[in-house]
Amino acid sequence: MTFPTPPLSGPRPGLSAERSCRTVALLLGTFLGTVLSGLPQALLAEDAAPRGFAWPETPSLNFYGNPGMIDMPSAEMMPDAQFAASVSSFGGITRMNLQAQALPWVSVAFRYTETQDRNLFNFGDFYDRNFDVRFRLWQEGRYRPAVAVGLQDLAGTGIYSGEYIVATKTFAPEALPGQFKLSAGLGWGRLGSSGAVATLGNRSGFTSGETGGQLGVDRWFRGDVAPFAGVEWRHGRWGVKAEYSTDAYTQETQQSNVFERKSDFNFGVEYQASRQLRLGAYYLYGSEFGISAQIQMNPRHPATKMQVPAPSPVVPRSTWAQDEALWTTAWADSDSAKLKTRDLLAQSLRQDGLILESVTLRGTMAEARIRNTRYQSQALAVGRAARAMAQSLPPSVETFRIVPTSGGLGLSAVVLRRSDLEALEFSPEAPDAIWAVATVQDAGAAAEDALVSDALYPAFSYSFVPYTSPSYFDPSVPFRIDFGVDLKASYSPAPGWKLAGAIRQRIWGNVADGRAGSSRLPQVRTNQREFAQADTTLEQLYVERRWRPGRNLYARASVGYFESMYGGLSGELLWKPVDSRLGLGAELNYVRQRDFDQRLGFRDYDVLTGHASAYLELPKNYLMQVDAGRYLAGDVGATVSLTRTFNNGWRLGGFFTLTDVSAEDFGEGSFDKGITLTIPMGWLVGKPSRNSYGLTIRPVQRDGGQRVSVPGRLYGQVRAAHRKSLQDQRARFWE
Amino acid sequence: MRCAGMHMRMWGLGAALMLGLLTGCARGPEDTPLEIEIGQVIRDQIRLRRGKATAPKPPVLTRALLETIAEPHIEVEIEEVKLRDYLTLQVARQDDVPGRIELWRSVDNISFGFRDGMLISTRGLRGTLLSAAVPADGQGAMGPASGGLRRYEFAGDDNASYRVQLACELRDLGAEPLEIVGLIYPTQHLQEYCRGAQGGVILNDYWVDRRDGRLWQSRQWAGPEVGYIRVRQVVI
Repeated sequence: MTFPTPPLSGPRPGLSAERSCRTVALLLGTFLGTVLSGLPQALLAEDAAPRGFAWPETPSLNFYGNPGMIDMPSAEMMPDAQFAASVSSFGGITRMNLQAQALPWVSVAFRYTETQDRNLFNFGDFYDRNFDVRFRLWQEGRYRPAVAVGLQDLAGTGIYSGEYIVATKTFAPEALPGQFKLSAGLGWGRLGSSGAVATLGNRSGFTSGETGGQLGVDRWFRGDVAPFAGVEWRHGRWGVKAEYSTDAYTQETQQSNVFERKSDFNFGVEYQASRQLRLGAYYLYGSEFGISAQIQMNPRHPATKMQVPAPSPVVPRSTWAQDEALWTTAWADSDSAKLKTRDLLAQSLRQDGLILESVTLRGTMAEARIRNTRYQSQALAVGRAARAMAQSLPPSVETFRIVPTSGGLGLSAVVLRRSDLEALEFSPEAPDAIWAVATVQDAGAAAEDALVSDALYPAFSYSFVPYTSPSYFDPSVPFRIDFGVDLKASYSPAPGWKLAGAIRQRIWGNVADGRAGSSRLPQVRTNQREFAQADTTLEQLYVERRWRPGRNLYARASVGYFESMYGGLSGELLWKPVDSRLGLGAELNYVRQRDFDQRLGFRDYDVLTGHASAYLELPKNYLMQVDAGRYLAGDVGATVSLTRTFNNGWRLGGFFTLTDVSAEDFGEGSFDKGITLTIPMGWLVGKPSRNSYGLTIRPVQRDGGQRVSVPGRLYGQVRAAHRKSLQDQRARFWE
Repeated sequence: MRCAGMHMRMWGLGAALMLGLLTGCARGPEDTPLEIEIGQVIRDQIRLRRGKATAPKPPVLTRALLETIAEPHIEVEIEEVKLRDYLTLQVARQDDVPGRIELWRSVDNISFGFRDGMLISTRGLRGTLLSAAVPADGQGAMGPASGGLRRYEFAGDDNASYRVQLACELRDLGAEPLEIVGLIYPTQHLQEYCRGAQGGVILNDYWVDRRDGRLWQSRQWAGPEVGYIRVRQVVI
């Protein structure tokens, strides 16, 4: 008899081959499979049962990916942490937008636009990258409208630059079905270019030939001001929109001939195809048809709800060890009994996908060091390990010390009493109850008499998998990709030691046909094209040693070929107490640039590069990181990054680097900056997984402010097993 | 012609990549690579679709069949998806909270925990019920002993949990003879009528033996994701 796994949150997504690449296209593609499966909960008929943690009400988006009508914005905000990817197109103008609700009252956006036949700066079709930010000044009240201020395309060329202040009020008249949202505002820049009623100061334009990348502070809220307005009516899955647009599209209709603007009014119809996906069709400016697709996700609401096989229950010792003789600690004096216990424990852990690194057995205490290769959540892994220990250790063992490890390094120690496990498994609010009696300590080094798992070491692993390697924003072909297969292998003779390598065979790709880079600085990253010429390459080959030099300290030393472009020596030291929100680190590398063919040779460029780093965990799971030091091109400066991290593995963030390289020497963009996005596999497919899709987008790849990519950096792994992370995820302990 | 050639080539590449995903392999005690996991998901999907038609159906119960089974079994059905299976008792125990705990488990690792017959945990399903406070008095009779506050804690949000609080009223719907596969038991039909603090209503129904307080059948809410489950004691 089997109990088929019920698809309780809709059918699981079907994955197709294209989604294997770590690209935006992949994310959108993967998500499409998922979003089409679920019904919008908010749109379901009134349910009798409590809805619990339900999908929030979401605003619809405009052509810029901001909450709004069609081209004009509204004052609405998406729910906190919401992430939206949208694409819109009309009259030869296509916009691909990523929007994130960074805080309940702040949202940020990145946009990539294509304007066909724009003929600007001698490019036929013109591609541009924009950043936006919007702030809500106050929320909607009973009579008061919500008000927001936004800056669109706030830096660089400012081709789409426009600022606005807008108010939105929702009405649900009883006489009519559905809900109306009325918005009205004032626009500057692009949004003040038609129907201006006043002029505030002088608005400077972008000068061709400048490097861009700087904030356009001298443009903001300057020049002509025009009032715009719009209305949205929503009923069930359908929505109708109408607006009065104040964007004259001067560049597209007067300075070039992209489309013809005949009217100030735009109209559209939208349909909510699923909980996340909204589709729209529009008629714009009296001459053009347009379409849009909007996908909204929320890291707190998985695409597929997680399903983990049931654990084995904790059976109290009182039910199976009633004979007092069973409770002695005599077994701890016998080596064979200890080895037998170790093997029993290893077997029990293996059922839950955990690997026993080593175990220290004393009469009343046991410390198990575990390697977790299955669960993204270390709290869940610790819970499973506790159950395995309760199942397999002799009754006299009362104190459990569970040490999650990474690369042989003990990350933290969770100390539990076995009697608490037995007493609390079924208690009301069991997760809080067990956490209240658990302590998290520094793991320290394994004891001298720890029994290392001889089934594990020496450990050999290999994999043979396809890979994809994308390249973005080449002006002629904005998206290039290589793909082929990777053969990876690693050998670990003892805890803390690792020899790893990867050989890459390209099967097909067009990155090698990309634009040749040029730079006033040493070419440390802009020679990507040269590095893409060889088909068979040695991606990595390095030896790594990790150890704990002292309390709260973690260390790593590596030597070899770290990445496709650099090899050398690397050392890292991290200070991070288990219960501290602050971590401090230092890394020093001596690297040489590798030969373009990426075999064993090196080019004639070497550099001493390194950073002092500070990591600070802020409220709302924001992680701030500052790295100050010397970069690959020999430039000196600092990188600041702010990332919203989620316990389930989602990460959304941005970074910028300022060094002593001038904007002129740096080139286009003036300084290095970008956004990072990570979506965990488990969130998408609802099964335990430690993998994720990661993406770093730089508007422009230059040579200033670049770091070597050394495998096995410490902070991320260490933090995942420290007190804050474990405590935030305590609900998963018993899962 | 060039376009058509490109198109063909892209298809060929797509097929090669798909093949790569399906044939990729990994061994050893390191994290499984992403591409291998994607391949597994694809394979699972293919198997699921193929297997749907041939999936074993739960057996039709007869009293004669039940009498051949010695081990205690309950039948659990998830109403919304009409899934039914027979579970065996894994653990029966007491803790410091009143009421006898029973944990029942299916062969494919789904488990349901009850305290005096009232659902306190689900594992192995989506929308895990992590824990619950139920009105058990531990005086022998199963089912709810009183009305009052009910608390459920479900897995959700960002690797965390959320709580649902309900105010319940206990209703006695009177004596009802209950038939379970050819046997009729004299039962009392109890009902919990619960209102959520944030709205919503749930009803939990229990059919408790009037002679010894054993719970023969129930219909209980297992959370916003799972909905209602129906439970029958088919072999004691």
